[in-house]
Amino acid sequence: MVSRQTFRGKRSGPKPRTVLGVVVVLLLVTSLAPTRFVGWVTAFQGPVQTVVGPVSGTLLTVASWLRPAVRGPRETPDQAEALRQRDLAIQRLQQANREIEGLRERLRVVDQFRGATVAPATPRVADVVGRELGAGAITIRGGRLAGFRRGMVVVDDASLQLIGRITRVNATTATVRLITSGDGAAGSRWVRGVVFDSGAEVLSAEEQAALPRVDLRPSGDGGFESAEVEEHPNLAAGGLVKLDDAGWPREAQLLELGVVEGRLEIDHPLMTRVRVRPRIDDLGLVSRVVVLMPEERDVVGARSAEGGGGGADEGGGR
Amino acid sequence: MNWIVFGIAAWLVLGVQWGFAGALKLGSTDIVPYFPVILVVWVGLWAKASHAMAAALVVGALWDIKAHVTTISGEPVVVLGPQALGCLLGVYLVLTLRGVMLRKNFLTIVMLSGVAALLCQLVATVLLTTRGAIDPAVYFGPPLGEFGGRAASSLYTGAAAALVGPALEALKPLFGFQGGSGSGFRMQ
Repeated sequence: MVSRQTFRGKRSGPKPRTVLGVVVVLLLVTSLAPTRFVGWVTAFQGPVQTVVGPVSGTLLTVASWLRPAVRGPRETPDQAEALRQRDLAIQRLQQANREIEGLRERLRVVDQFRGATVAPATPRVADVVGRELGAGAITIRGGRLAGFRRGMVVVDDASLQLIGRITRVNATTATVRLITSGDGAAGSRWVRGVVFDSGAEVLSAEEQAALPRVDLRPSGDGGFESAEVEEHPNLAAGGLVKLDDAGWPREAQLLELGVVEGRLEIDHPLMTRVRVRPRIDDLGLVSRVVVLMPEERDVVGARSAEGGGGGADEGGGR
Repeated sequence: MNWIVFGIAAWLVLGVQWGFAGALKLGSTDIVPYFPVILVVWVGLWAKASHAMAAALVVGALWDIKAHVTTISGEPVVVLGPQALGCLLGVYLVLTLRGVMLRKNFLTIVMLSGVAALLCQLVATVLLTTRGAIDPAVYFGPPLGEFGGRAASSLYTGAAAALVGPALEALKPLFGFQGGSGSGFRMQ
């Protein structure tokens, strides 16, 4: 681009116009060539994120003061702690119920045995240092060096809201794809959820197993739309939807996806479709998250589950 | 142009885009101002043509590397080129028009930032749509819908330039611009 001049005033090296043309052609190639040929470019992302991170992380803190993620009506600290304790206790009960149902299933059908018993995941707090709003992803501080791995589950630091899953890990940062990313078209991922009446009810394992399941995919506006599902009282507005999807790691099960916001009009008397929205208005605006780090054998299990059972998780729907 | 000062400015601008732009988005949409475009336009107004184009390529390439696209498998992939070529075309527009513009008037950077961002995003949308059609692994949304949001962001960029432009103007002595007073685009 910048040509040098000799002391005699004559130019040496290629002309700027030639250099510009070559650069443009190279950029066209890296823009249009399939990923298997130019995927190596992604390797530059880690260093760039590491360099820009200190500035963006500081500014993101400022931005979070100016525009925090809204988490619904505010309670007093005591109320909030009581509600949190209640939610945690119920969450444990629901997970235990799920375990019970799973164990019964294993006893009934041995060849459908799924997953080994593993230790619970270790939570690790991570600050958000970047937001890729167009790509529906956030970047968090802490990467390979912090023990993060691809596929780990990420939740909100102040609730049981599922945020997404780590899709790429660099040395010091990691990229989290938001569970609400996508626009409902091909390429959007389906997740399966179970719909509770309010989430606060105490159910037996049998009652929990009888709750309605809905297949959801991102609607493009920060929420989800379900596939057609049989009518059920829990599908009314306010019903709490939690993840119940075998394609996700065990520690992600029964984390919150959102609440039923309303129904979508369909021309069927016995079926319905619902719109679900996370209780955090915009998952991309959270400033701190918790990464659930399973033990090594669980990560390996999650990887093999991704490789073997990913088909149901991708665009086609169920 | 002092490339060290430019490098620091680019570092800060990318940090602002990455960390702060989310706070400025309109409602629940993804409409945010493109701060890198404002820097590119401002450099295009004052620097030599070759320097301005090199600066646009550098900022655009870093923007591309930072802003990945999503693949069907969910793994983010960097597509190097759309924003870089978009910024290049944007600064070409600025270089072509700067001879007939009142460069010290803040409305100039407002107008040029909006138009250059629009041009930049048009190029990016076309390239990413084409890439999505060629490469089945890359998912890119409906082109009209994508460009609609990007066009709105471009207008927002123009509005943001009303604030950022004067701030850059105050830093102009640090950049040491020389030889950028010629009108029209000319490159040897």
